[in-house]
Parts: sequence; structure tokens; C-alpha cells
Amino acid sequence: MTFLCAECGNYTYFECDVQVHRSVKPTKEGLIVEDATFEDFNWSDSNIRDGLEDSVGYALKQSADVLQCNPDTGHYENTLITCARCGSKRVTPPYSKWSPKNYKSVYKEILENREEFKQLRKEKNYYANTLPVLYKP
Amino acid sequence: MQIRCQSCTNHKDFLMPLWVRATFKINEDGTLSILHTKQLESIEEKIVDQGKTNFELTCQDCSGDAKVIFNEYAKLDTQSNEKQALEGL
Repeated sequence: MTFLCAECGNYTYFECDVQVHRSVKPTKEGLIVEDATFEDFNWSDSNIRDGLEDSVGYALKQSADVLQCNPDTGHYENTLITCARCGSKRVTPPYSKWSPKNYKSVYKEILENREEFKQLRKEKNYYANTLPVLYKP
Repeated sequence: MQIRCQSCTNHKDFLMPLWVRATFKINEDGTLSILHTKQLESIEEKIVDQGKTNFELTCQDCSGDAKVIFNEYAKLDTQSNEKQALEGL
């Protein structure tokens, strides 16, 4: 589950606004608007896919940044992603990685993994003392 | 109507950014499937506003700003009017 709508419980269908570049070609008959293509590459399609993945990725990673408090309702609303079922903007990731109960300091984690790290250091290869070798074609 | 690039001689291929609303589905494996797209902006309005409030229509070759000439014969009309006026005098 990536996102969850707090209004209707939908976790599958969402909407997002993305910017797409379209090709405009003036002709004698009028304007022809079509997908912007460069040889075989469809730039318009790529715009939609990349824009969508960027927005979803950003909303997942920086969930606090995309949430904005609506003073009328008192709820936090997603500025990028909307629920496609009910139109609500109360769309958030359903969980947070940070938890005050399960908090573990980095120092404690390092201490716990100390033996594993010692083992890794033994396995590590050092190339720093080897001289550079001239390239021979 | 004519569209011309102000930087190069291109008058055929231009690009315009448009906002669309994409309806998508999040699959079980985390990938996204696009179900529908809906255009949110009017191309006609953007072309009319070109050069007045925005310069969003750009040349596909050099990315320069494009100039929209709605009536390319307007200059000819003015010239013929002036000619007729002079002939009248």
C-alpha cells in the first residue's frame, strides 16, 4: 500500500496533475496539435510517465512537504495527489517510518553491528598502495 | 494565422506545455498504470495570450520564443489603405 485516502479508504486509484509538452504545427487549414516526437521517441508520453513517477516519488519521500493544513477543515491535504474515487485531497502514505516507541539511536545500532563490521574490514581489499599501471592497448 | 520563431527562421514546428490531470492506478508490485488523462488548459487561450501574458509557445528547433501573427494580411491592408488615401488626394 503506497497511499491511502483518509476519506474513503481507497488505496489504488489516484489523480495527479502533470505538465506535458505538445507539438503545435500551423498549417493552411489550421493548427495541428499532436504528441511531440523526436525520431522514434515520444516526448509527450515520456512527460506523463516521468511527471507521474516524480510526483508520486516526491510525495512518498517528502510526505510532510506535500501536506498542507486546510484551515477550514482542519485536515492536512496532499498538494500533489488526489483520490480518484471521492476527490478528497486527504491522501497520505498509510504509515510513517519514524516511531517514538521504536526509536533506536545510530550509536546503539552501530554498537549492535560492531562484530559484523569487524568482519567486513577483514574482507575489505585495499588498492590504495598499488601503483597505477600504464594502459596498454 | 502564422507562427514564427523570433530567434530562427522556423515557422513549422513549435512546442507548448500543457497541464493534464492523469488518473492512475498503483499496482500491487508498486508500479503505476495510467488509466486516463484529461486536458486542463485550453490551447486556443494559450496561443491568444502568447506574447501578452506568457511566452509558453516555443520553437522546437532552438527553444526561442514564438510570435503569433493572427492576421498576416493586416500590414498589406494598411499599405493599400494608405495608397488609396494618397491616390484620393
